[in-house]
Amino acid sequence: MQGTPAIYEFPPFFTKQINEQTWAAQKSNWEKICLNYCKGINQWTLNKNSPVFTNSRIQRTLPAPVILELFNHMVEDGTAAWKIPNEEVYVYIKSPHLLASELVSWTEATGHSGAVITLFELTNGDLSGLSSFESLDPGILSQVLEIVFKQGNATEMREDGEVVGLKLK
Amino acid sequence: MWRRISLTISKTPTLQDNEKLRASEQNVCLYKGNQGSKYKKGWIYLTDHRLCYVDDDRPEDYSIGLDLSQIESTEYTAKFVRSSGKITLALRHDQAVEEATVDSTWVCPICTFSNQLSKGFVFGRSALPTCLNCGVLASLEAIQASSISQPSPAAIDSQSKETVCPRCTFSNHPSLVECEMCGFLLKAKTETKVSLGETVKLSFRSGGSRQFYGKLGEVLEESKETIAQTSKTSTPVLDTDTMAIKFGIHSIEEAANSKHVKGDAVMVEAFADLRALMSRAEEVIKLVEAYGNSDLAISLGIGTSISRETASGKKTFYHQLARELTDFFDSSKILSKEGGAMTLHDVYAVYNRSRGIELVSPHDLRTAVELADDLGLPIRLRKLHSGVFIVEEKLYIPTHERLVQWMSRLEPWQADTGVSAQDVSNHFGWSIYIATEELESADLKGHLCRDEQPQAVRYFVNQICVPV
Repeated sequence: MQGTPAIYEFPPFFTKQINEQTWAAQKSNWEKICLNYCKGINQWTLNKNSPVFTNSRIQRTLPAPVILELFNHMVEDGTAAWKIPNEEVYVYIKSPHLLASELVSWTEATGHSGAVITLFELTNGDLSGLSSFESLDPGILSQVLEIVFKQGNATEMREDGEVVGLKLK
Repeated sequence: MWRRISLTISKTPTLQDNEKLRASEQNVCLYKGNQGSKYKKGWIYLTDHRLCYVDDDRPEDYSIGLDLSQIESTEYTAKFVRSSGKITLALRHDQAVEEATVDSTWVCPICTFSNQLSKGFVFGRSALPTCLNCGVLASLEAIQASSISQPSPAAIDSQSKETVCPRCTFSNHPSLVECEMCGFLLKAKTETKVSLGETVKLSFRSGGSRQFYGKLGEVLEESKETIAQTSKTSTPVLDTDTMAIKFGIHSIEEAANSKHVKGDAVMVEAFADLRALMSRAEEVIKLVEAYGNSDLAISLGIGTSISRETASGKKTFYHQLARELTDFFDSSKILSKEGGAMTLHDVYAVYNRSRGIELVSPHDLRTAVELADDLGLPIRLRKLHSGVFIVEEKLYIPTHERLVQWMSRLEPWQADTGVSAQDVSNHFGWSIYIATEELESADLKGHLCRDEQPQAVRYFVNQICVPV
């Protein structure tokens, strides 16, 4: 992996430390590494088998129970949310609130007020200036849209009961 | 006359051969007559021959001893309200002073042998001495005539000005401490003397005076007996020639007496073997010590071991035990061989094995070691986080710091793989158990961090988070 800190090469980093303070520092270090990793490959989810938890160079893997504790810590911190409890998490490279306000300011800046865009357009990178939404996990997208609808900055467009697009205001 | 005494590493008086500790008590103060002295708070030790005082605060400067033979009489004052129990010792008249004043001889009028006038002789009051040569009583005139012969003025002059070396007879300047010619210590003897007057009071502030007084009486009695015995054996009083002439009841009695005497002689002979064995045992121990095989010496036991009986009071016993344990570690080097740390149960086993008899109980040992730190001894008891107690040498650098120092100085290849308990055990000389415990507690405190592997846990200097 590229751009990992030196601590990633430190064997005890892959064992849960028994000292409270050290463990706290270890968790926050892992949190940073996870966020950087997801940002680097633009991935919005992590699970126990993600390659980030294995360092093949020093032959160490973070044990699954420790990963779960790490996920719990991230959820508490607000940098992640459970997708499947105790299995997979959404990693908030950017928080849903930030994404929602990005969408609103994009609408105003590019004069898209009143326009209709589909979810496909949003996540496929067809719209310039909205790179954050590119390959955005559908779960997170729905969270973002919920915020936007709630704020009244857009209305939903449904087809067969599913949201397929939105009309910007 | 009190003298300065030498101390062992554990701040107890150095005992001579054949000398045994009989009793000890803490928090004792010496009074000079009825006034206080600078010997305010310390330990009092009673051995076969001596009474020793060791100061608590400045043991090097204020440690003095008194020969038991100097004690004329003892008196006991019990504890009353705020006044603590006291023992008053009346000392014999200062011999050093007498030596200076009485230096006269008298000439026997019968055989003209010149006799030394005994030291305690007071003209007109003491009984007249007998001539050592012919056994005739001295006449008053003879003593008057010769004893008043004072040293010549010239002799006094030279005495006050110059010190004559007893070894080479060179007359040294009075201010010199060592002989200018041969280096003989001229003043050492007088300098070690400490005068506390003729009556000394021992005040026992933490109690225990009664037991101590009892022991003192016992020891004094014993020492008197041994003196009497030696004088008896040196001059046998058995006279068989005079017995043969006697008749009647008196002779029967005499015969019975002589039987007793013979029986005694047989007993003495029989026990002479035992005594010989005892003296041999001492030689054997000396031989072992000469070979320097400490293991053997340990298995033979240490010479003097204190027991509950020799120490009055419970606390005193523990204090003494702690001191003796320190001496034991010091002489056997066991603790340093184990890297300066041993579990309490190992200490218990090794120490009791060396005592051989009069074993100490685990509780006694633990209590004693707990006190060691307060007594200023170089060992202490520490509880590891698992609850196991270890006895360790008192070092100023904490263990975790020693671990971190060593680990951060490791070769890079070893620093990358970390250290195991085995590595630590090899380096510090600790047992594997203690090494594991020390690593774990350093880890728990955050000085180290762990890398759990299927084979073993390896430890690294903490790089994740520097402990505050």
